[in-house]
Amino acid sequence: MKFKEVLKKAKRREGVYEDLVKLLGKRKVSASESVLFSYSHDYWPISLHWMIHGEIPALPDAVIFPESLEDVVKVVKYAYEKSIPIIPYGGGSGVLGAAVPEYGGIVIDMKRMRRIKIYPKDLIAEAEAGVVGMTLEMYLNHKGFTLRNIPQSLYPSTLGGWIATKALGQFSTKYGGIEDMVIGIEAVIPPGDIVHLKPHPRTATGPDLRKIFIGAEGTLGIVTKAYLKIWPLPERVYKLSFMSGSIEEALESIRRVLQRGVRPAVVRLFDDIETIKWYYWDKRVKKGKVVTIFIVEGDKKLADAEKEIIEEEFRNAIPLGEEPVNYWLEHRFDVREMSEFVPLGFVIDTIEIALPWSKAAEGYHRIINAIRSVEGTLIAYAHASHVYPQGTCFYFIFAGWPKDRDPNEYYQEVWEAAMKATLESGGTISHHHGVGRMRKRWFKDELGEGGFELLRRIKKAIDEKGILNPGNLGV
Amino acid sequence: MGKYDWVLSALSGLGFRDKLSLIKKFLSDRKKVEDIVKCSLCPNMCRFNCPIATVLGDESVSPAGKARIALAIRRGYLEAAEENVLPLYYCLGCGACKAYCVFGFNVAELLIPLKEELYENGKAPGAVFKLAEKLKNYGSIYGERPVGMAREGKVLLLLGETLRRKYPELEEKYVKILEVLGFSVKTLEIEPYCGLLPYYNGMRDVAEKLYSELVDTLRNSKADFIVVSEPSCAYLLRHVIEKYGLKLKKKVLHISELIYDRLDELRFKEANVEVVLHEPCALIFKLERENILREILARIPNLKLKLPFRNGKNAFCVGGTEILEEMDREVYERLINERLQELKEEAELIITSSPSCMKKLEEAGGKVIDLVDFLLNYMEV
Repeated sequence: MKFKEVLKKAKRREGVYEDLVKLLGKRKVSASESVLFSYSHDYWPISLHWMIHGEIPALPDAVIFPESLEDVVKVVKYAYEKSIPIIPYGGGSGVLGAAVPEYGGIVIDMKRMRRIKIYPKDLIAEAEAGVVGMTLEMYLNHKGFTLRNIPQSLYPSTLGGWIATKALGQFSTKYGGIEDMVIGIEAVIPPGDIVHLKPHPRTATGPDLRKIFIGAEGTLGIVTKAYLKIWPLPERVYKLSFMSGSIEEALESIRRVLQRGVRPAVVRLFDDIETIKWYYWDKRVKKGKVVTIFIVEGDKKLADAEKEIIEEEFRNAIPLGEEPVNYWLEHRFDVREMSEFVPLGFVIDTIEIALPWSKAAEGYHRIINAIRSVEGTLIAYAHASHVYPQGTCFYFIFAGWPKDRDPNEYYQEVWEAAMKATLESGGTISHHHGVGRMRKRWFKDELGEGGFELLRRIKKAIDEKGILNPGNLGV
Repeated sequence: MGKYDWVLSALSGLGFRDKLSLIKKFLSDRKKVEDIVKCSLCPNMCRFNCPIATVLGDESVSPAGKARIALAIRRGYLEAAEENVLPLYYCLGCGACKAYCVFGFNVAELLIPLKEELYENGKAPGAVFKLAEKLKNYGSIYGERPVGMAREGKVLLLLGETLRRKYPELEEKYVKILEVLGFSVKTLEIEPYCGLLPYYNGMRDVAEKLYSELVDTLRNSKADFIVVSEPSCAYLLRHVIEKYGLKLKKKVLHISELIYDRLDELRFKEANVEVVLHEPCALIFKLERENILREILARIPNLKLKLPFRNGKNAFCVGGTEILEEMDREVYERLINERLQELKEEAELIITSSPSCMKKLEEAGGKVIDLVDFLLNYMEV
C-alpha cells in the first residue's frame, strides 16, 4: 500500500487478524489492504484532500463486523486483555475525525447489527446500533410511525453514530435531539461488561447513565442497541415561509415564537447569502433580505394554533407560502460540494455552534467576520436551524482557496478563528457534530478545568487501559 | 437572479473582475473532474439503498467505498491484487445507487473501465474468468443453451434462459397474453444471450461477441418489435449495446410495459387474494418504470396488493448478475433471504415480473407467481 499515514501514532500490530478470526470466524473479520484503507478515515473534510493525494489519517490493524452482542463482548474482552484500541464505526459520515484509528487497533463496524422491533402501544422502537438512519425511518414510516431524526446525513449515517456524536436532525425543534429520543440503551464497556439500561417513560434512579454514552464518541463504551421514542405520523402538516428585512428581525421573530411555547418541527433561517443561494429562482426574494422556513406538524388543532402564532410573530415579514419549503425539502439531501470543490483545490467545511438569544445576532456577525478575515477564505455564510426557547444553533459554511498555502494550514486557521470567536461570544463550540479530533484543542476551554477533569475521571474509571477510541476528544 | 449570483455576493476580498474569473474557472474546471473522483468524495449518500452495503455492512463494498478503492488502484496507492480488487465485484449492477445520487451515477457503470483493464490484465477475480469461459463456450453460464419451440409471427418474444430452463410452462402463457392483445408471436428455437454479466464485469471480448450475435439475430428476425421477459434484457438492448458500437432500430419492450400500454383493452374479474409485489430492480432503476406494475395490478378488483417496506425507488435487488452467486454463495443467499423475509412480512404470495427474480425467491423458499401467469388467472378473455 502506498498511502502515507498522516496521523498514525502507533506501529502496526502483528497477529491481531489471526486472533480475531479464531474468535469470530473469517466472515466477520478483515485485514485486507483495501478494507483497512476503507476504515482509515471518516468524512472529515481535510482528510478528503489527503485521500485524493495519496495520504490517509491512519490505518487500523483489523476490522470486524459483529452480528450480535456476543461478538462485541468477545472483541472487547480480547482488546482489553491485549490492550488494543477499539474504535466503533457507523456510517463514517462524521466530519471531525472521531472514527480515525489514530493508534491503530480494531475498528468495529456495527452495520451488520441492524434489527428493528416496534412496540406500538408504548410508542417505543428497539433498534440495533448499526441500522442506517434512512432504513430505520423508512421501516417505521411503513408501519405508520416516525422517529423524525432527519439529519442531512440520514442516508449514510447510523443510529450508533447518532448516539456517539449526540446528533440531531432537521426536525429537532419539535422532536428533540437523539438525547431526547433515546430512553434505553445497551452498551459494552471494558473489560467486556454488558450495560443494559431499560427503557422507561421516566426514571429517577440515580444519575442518568444513558447520558454517559450519548456524545461520548466511542470513548466510554460500544453502544449496541437503543430504545427510542417514536411517534405516529403527523395528522396535519403546514409549510410556511417568510422574507424578513434582516437577520436580526428574523431572529427576534423566531425567539418570540419559541418562547410562546410553539414547537415547529423545522425552523430554518438563511442569512442573506444563503437566501439567494437557495432562492435565486424566486422573483419575490430580494438581495439583502433573509428567508425563514417553517414546517409545523402534528395534531390538527395543535398545528393550527402553532401556525397562527407563527404568522402573528412574522406579521412584519413578507409571507412566501409553501414553495420555498417544498424546494428545500426537495434539495436538502443534495450533497455535492466536497465532490465538486475538493478536486479543484478548494477547502470547504461546516462549523455548527449554538448561542443564547441575547448573543445570537452579535455572535453570528462576529463568527462570520472572523472566518471571512482568514486569508484564503472566499465564501462564508450561515443559517440558523434547531432553535430553542433559550437560543439557536448557527451553521456556518465556508470555502477557501489556499492557492500557495498548505490546505491544512489554511483549514486550521479558519477553525481557530471560528472557535475563538464562538467562545468569545459566549457560545458552545459544537451544537451537534461533536468534538472528534478536530475540536479537541478547544474542548477544555468549552468544559472548563472542572468539567474536563470530571470527564477525564469518568473515562479513567470506565476505560482504565485507554482502549476505547484513544486520542478522540483529547480525554 | 441567476443561479450563481450568490457567489458574486459572497466572494469576499476580491474585485468584480477577479470574482468573475474565479467563477468561470470553477465552472470550466468542474467539468474536468472525473465521475469516479466525485463518487469517491461523497459520504455514501446512496448507501442505504444498496443491497450489498446493507447486508454486508462493510465500507469497502459500499458504493462510495468501491469508488475510493477503484481510484486508489488506478492511482497506484493500492496494488491491483485479488484481495484488493474483490470488493469491486461485490456489486449487483442494480442501479439502486443512482436513485439517490445527486450526480445520477450508477456506481456499477463507473467501475466498468477499471474492470475491463483488470480483466484484460488477468487481475480480475477467478470467478470472472470462470464465468467468461462458460459464456465463450456456451453463450450461457449454465451450459448449452436451452432449445424451445420456434414460432412464426410479427412480434418476437424473447423468453430468456431462466424461463426456458426453469419455467417452460410459462412460455405458453406469455404467448397467450400477447395473442389476447392481438399480436402474432414469433419465438426462436435457440435464443441468443441477453444478459448484463459481461458488461458489468468488464469482459469486453465476451460482451462484444455475444451482443453482436444478439443484435444480428434480432435484426434478422424480421419482427415488428421485440418483447422480453427480463427487464435487464430490455435495458441491454435499449442502452447498453450502443456502448459496443451496436444499434438496433427495433423497439424493445419488457412484457409489463406492453401490458401497461394496452391496459385499457383488458378486463379483469375479482381477485379476493392478498399478494405482495416484488418489483424487479431493473424495471425500477434501469427502465425507470417505477409505477407500472402497481398500476397494472390496481386494475384487478378486490386484489389486496401489499408492498414491502423497500419498494419503488427503494426496491431491493435479489441477486443482480450472476457474479455474486459464483463468487460468494453465502452472501448471495443472505441477500435473497433478507428480501424474502421482508416480502413474507406482508403476504405469503409474491408477485413479480422477472423469471430470474422469481427463481431466486422460490429457491429460497418463497411462493412466487409471475405477473403474466397471475393476470391470465383473472383476465376476462
